Amino acid sequence: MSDLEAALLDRLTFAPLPAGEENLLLAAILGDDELAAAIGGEPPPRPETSTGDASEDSALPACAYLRSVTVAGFRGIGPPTSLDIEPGPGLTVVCGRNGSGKSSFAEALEVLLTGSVRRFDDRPAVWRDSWRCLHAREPTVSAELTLEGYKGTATVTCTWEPGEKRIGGGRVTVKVPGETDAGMERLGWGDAMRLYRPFLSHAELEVLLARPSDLYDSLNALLGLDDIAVIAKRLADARKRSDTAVKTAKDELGRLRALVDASDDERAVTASGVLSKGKIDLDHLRSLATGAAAPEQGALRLLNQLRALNPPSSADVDAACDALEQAADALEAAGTSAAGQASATADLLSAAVTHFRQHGPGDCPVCGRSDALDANWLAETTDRIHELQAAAQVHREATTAATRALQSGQLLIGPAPAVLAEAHTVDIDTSELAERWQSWAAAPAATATPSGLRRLAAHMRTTHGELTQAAASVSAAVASEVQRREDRWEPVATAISAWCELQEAALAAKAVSGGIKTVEDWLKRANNDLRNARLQPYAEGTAAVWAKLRQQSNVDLVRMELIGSATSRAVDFDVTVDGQPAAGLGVMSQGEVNALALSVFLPRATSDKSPLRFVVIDDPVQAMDPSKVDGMAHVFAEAAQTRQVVVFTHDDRLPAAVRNLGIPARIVQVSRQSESTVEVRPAGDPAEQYLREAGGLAAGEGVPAPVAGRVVPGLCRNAIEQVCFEIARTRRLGRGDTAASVEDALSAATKLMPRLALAVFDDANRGGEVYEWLNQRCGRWAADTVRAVNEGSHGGTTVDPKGLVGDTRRLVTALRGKLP
Amino acid sequence: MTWSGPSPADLLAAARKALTDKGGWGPAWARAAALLARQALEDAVRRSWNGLAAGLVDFPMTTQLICLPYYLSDEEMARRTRQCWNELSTACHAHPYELEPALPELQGWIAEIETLLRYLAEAST
Repeated sequence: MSDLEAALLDRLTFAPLPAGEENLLLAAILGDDELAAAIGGEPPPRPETSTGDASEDSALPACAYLRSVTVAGFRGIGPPTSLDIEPGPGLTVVCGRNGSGKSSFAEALEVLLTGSVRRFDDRPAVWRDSWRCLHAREPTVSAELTLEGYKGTATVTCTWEPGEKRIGGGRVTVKVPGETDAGMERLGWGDAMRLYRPFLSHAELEVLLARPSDLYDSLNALLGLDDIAVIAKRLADARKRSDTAVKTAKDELGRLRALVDASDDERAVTASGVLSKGKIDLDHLRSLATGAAAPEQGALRLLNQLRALNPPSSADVDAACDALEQAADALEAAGTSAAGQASATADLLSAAVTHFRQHGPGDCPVCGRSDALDANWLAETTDRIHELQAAAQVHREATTAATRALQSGQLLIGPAPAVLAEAHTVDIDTSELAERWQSWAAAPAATATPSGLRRLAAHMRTTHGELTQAAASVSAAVASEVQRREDRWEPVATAISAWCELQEAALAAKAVSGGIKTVEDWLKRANNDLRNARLQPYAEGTAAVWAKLRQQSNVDLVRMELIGSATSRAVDFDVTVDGQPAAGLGVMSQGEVNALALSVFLPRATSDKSPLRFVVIDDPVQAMDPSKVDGMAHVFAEAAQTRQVVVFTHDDRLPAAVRNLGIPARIVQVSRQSESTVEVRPAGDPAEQYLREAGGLAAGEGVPAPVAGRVVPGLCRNAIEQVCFEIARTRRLGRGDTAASVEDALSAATKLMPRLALAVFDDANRGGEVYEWLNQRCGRWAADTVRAVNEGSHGGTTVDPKGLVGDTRRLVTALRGKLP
Repeated sequence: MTWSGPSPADLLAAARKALTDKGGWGPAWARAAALLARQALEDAVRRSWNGLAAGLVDFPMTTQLICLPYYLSDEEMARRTRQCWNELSTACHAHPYELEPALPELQGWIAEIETLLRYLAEAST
C-alpha cells in the first residue's frame, strides 16, 4: 500500500464516507477498471492494511557526496579538466569570470546525473545542440561519488556517440569497485533526482517562481501527493461520462418525441402519451417497439381481423359437396314414394299377422275376400313384412345422411363478415369479395331431397371458386398494407428501443453521479489538508532561509501554500511589506524574487529524505544586493553543516563575503585559456595570491626578467588595492554601515591613491595626504614602494622586481597591522 | 628621446604568448597579459609623439589619449585606442568583487592594439 493510500484510508476513519461512496473512493484509488466496476455496483477489493513497518523492507538508497567532476569536450571545456570537491558536508565556492568554464562543470554534472540541462530545455535547438566543445574531439563527463556505506568510489560516466546531437543522448554507466558496470539505477536514487533536484542555475532561479503551476507540480510531487490528481481525474472523468449519459438521454428524448409525433402510426400516439409522462414507463415503450402488445382497437386490429378472414377452404367445400351429392344418390336409391310408405305398410301387415294369430284363418277383414287369410298368406305376409322393414331402414338412413349433408353444407355458407364493411377505413377494397361472399351466401332454399341436395352442391361449387379468388386478393392487399405500415414503424421502433437503453444507462449514471461528486469533494478537502500539513516543514524551511536572505528588505514571507488544482493550481506566497499584507511577488525586486526562489529551492534540495547529499548552485548572486550576499553566505554555511554545497559564481562577492564573515569554505578559481584549456586552482586570500604570483615572476621562474619587470609592479599594486578594500570594508561594516553603502564607496574609488586614502583616512578624497602619512607612520620606504608600483605598472620606471615584491609584502603587513 | 627595453611589439607578443603558453606566467597569466597589453598600448602612444608633438610625452596617459584624435588622421582609430586603454586600466586594477579578465576579453584587447601598432607603423613611413 502506498503512502498516499495509507494517508487516505487513515483519513476515512475520522472523515467517513457513506458505504457506497467509500467503495467509489477505494475503486478510484485502484484504477479505471475498478472504478467502472464499482459504478456498475461491484464493490472493489478492500485494501490490505499493512501490519509490518513498510520502511524496514524498502532500504533507503545510498547517500551520495560528490568527490570530483571531470569534463572534456563539453561546452567551454576542451581537454579533460577535473574539479575536486571535498566529499562530505562543507561549502565549496567555485569562481570564474563568465566564459571561464565554471558553468560547464555545473551543467556537465547536471546532464550527467539528470540527463538534461534545465537551462536549455526551453531554448531553441541552436542552444540545445551546441553543447560540444569546438576544441575537443569527443565529449566525456564523469563524476566520482562517495556513497555512504561503500568503500571506494563510484564513478558515473557519460559518453556520447560521434554525431549524437542531443545533449541528453549520452550513455551513462555507473562503475562501483568490484561490480560489473551498471546504469544509473545502480545508485538506487529512484525519483530522488526529480523530487529533490539538487541543481539550481541562475536561469532557473529567474523562472522558478515565474510559472506557478510548474512550481506547484514540483512541490506537490515532493509531498507525494501527485497521485491524488490522478485519482481526482479518474473520478471527474467518470462523473463527466455520467453527466454525458444523462444529457445524451435528455437530448435524444427531444429527438425521439419529434420522431414519434411525426409518425402516423397509431402506436406512435400511444408512445407519445407514454413519453409525455414525468416518469416514463420504459417497459410499456419497449412493448410498443417490439410489437409484444397486441392492439385492442384501431387500424391494426382491423387489419389483423382482415388478415384472419378466411372463406371455407376448397377441401372443406369439396368434401361437403361430395357429401351432398352422395346423400342425394342414396335418397334416390332408397326409393321415392313407396319407400316412404314401406314402414306404414309393414306396420299394417304386422297388425294383420297379429290378428291372424289371435283369430286364426278366415276372410280378409278389410276387403272381405273369403279365406284370404291362411298359412300361405301368413308365410307370404311375414316375408313381405321383413322386406318392407328393410326398405324402410334404408330409406331412414338415407334421409338422415341427407339431413346431415345438408346441415354441413349450410354450415359452410355464412354471410359476409361484418368487418368487410369497415375495410375501406384502412384503404382495403373488399367490394369484390363482399359481392362474391353475397353470392356464396345466397344459397337456394335447402330441402333434403335429392334435387335439393344437388342444387345446394351445385351452388357451392359454382360460387366458391370466385369467393376464394376474391379472398386471396384481399388477403394480399392486407398483407401489403400491414407490411407498408411495419416498414414505416420500424425506424421509430428502433429509435424507441435505442432510447430505452440510453435512458436506462442515464438513470444508472444519475444514481451514481451524486456519489462521485461527494467523493470528489472529500478528496479535494483531503488534498488540501494533506498537502498543507506536508508542506509545513518545507514552508518553514523556506521562511527560515528567506529570513536570513532578506536582510534589509521590508518584505516578509508569512506563509507559503499550495492552492487550487488542475489549471488553477499555484503556489501562494503570503507576504507583508513593512508589516502590511501585500499581493504576492509583485512587490518584490528581481533580487528579492531570486532570493525567494533560492529559499524555496534549498529546503527541498536538502530534505532529510533525499539521498543526494549535495546541492549545486550556479551563479545565485546575479541581481542580488550585496547585503543579501552576506545572508546567502550564512545560508550556504548553514546548509553546509549537513550537506555538500557547491556554489559557482562569476565574481568575488560571495568569496569576499565568505572571507569577511569567517565562514569555513574552500574557494577555487576557474579560468579558461586558449583552445578551451580550463584550469582549476585553489584561491585563498586575494592579496596573498597577488603577492605569491608576483614573487614567482620576480624569482625569474619562466619569464625573462625585462618582461617580468613590466608585470610585477601591476600585481604588487593589485595586492595593495586588495588590502585597502579589506581594511575599508571591515571598518565600515564593523561600525554598522550597510553593505550596499560600503560597496558603493569602494567602487567609487577607482585608483590606488584614493583607495589608500579610503583605507588610511576613511576618506577617498584625501589621496594627496597619503604619502605624508606613509612617511610618518611607516617610513620613507613605504611611500617609495607605492610610487614604484604605480609608475612600474605603466612601465615608467625600471625596478628590481624581487625588492619590489618584498617591499610590497612589508607594506601590506604594515597596513594590516596599523589600521583597524 | 631614446627608448630602451622591450618594444611595444615585444610586449604585445609577450601578452599573446601568455594566453597560449601560460607556463612562464603561472597563475598570473591573465593579469600579466592585461598589464603587458596596456603597457604596449601606452608605449606605442608615447613613441608616436616623437614625430608629432614631443612635449606631450610627459603628460598623464589620459591627457595624451584626449589629444590623440587631433594628431592621428584616423579619428576612429584614436577613439578605439582610448576605449581599449580604459578597459585595460580597469582590468589592471583590483576591483571589489571583479575576478581576473577572461580569455575572450584579453584576445579582444590584444587584437585592438595590434591594429593600432600596424596603423602607427604605416603612418610613420
